[in-house]
Amino acid sequence: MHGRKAYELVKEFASGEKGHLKIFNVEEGSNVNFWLVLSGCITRQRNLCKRRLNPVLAMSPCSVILHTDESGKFPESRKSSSSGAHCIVVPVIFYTPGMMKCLRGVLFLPFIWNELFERVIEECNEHHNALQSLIRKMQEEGLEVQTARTADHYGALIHHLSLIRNKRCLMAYVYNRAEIIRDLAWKVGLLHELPREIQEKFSDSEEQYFKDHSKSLKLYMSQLSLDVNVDMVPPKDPYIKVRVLEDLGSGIILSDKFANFARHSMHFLKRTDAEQYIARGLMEELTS
Amino acid sequence: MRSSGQKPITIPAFPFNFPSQITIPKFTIDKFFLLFWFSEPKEKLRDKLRTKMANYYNIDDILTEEEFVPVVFHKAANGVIIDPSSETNSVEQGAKVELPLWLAQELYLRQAVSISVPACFNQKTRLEIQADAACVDLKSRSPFFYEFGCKIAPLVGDKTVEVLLLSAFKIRYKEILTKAYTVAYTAASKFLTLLTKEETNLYEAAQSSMAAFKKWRMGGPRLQRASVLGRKRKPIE
Repeated sequence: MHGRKAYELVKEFASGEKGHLKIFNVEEGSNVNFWLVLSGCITRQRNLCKRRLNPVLAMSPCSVILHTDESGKFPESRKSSSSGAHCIVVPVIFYTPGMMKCLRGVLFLPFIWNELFERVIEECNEHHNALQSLIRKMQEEGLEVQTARTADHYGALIHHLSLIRNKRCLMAYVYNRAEIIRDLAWKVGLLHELPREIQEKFSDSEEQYFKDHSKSLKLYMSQLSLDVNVDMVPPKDPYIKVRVLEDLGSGIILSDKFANFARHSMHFLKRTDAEQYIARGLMEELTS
Repeated sequence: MRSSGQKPITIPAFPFNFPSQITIPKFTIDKFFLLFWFSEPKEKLRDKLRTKMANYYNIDDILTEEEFVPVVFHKAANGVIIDPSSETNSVEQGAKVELPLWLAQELYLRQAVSISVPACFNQKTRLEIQADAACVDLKSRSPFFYEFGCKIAPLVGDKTVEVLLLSAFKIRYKEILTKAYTVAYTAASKFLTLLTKEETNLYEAAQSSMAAFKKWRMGGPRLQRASVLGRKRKPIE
């Protein structure tokens, strides 16, 4: 069946618990930001197209398909000399409506693909090859590619739609994960370390995203000199009673006092100060 | 993904007056994308863009569009493995196959296929819904029954689908809210298996509002540990 592989990723995402992350569907130990590398490479190629060739040839990433090497198979992983990580050579192909001119750029991904991602890419390759061969066939028959409505046209159309679909699924997968990560930054508190069991589910780019997001929010709040992450409901009393659940040490300075937060000690704190500790599970609120 | 310094590419004459560049979140539709778009009437295309792009990243929307619909091909298509009964890799004119909705609707807009009413809106379901909508197992028919119905109704040109959806939802809505407030959790689990995704959301919303109301009435700590962190970890010794 066509265009089904990336859907499996989305399905897997949807089956997870709401607001929780699963392990990013790429094997651990990869140390390069795949999406950044890919989009960077594509932008480079587009600029090249624009400058040297016809500006019409410069395509947005929408039409870029990962491609295998000449043999049509996904190349074997190779050892890269510098980082010691595995490296896969993926030439990128650009195709255009008018002429099927191909430009190849070599993209190095020091990256080990997870099985599912690999299958998505494989499927994209198949679609791409089929699409290309159908268009070529139409050209050989002397038909105008843009206006002819032959069986080949509809075949190519189906392959094209499958590619678009796969792309949408992949985008949605990454986008929705990013949304969860943003959410985590707000809920757990900014610039704080996440617990290990959550952090190890991030891919590297997601980790960076989390850090950057927290950092820019922090910056924004310091410029406003306002903490936008506190509880939305105005308190009846600015002070609340809390109990410390874990030893926090004595070096913590709050806005109005300097306290020694030993385990099980009880304190009377400003609510805004206590909120971040409560969110992280280091204190609990006591009610009378 | 166009950086600010670059000039937008102007597109040469097209069969219709398409804006040279439509910016939608995160990417730009390019010329290649348009290659397969021309046969569409303009208004249809615009409408489709608007509704489709709003839900571009929506997981539920993606899952809904994966439901299968029966179609009949009006045009032959080469080089595709869609028709399981065909010996060659092609679909012949007049072939009857099942396609996922995302593919079927695109082909429909280009007059390549016609779509008939999918199995989950058949006569049997209609009769069951007329008898007692609240007890029908809609989840097994399609977990996105309503969304799927809304998407399919304009494509098949069957006015009765909309009426069916509306009447089913009205009756079930009442039932779900009553049950959400009254039924104990153990008894509800059986009832929950009948609900579609949207109805489950509704049920959960009703329950959480109930819980919030109880909490407000009883009082208690307002601030709590973030739920994503899971259960309390063991304190580090």
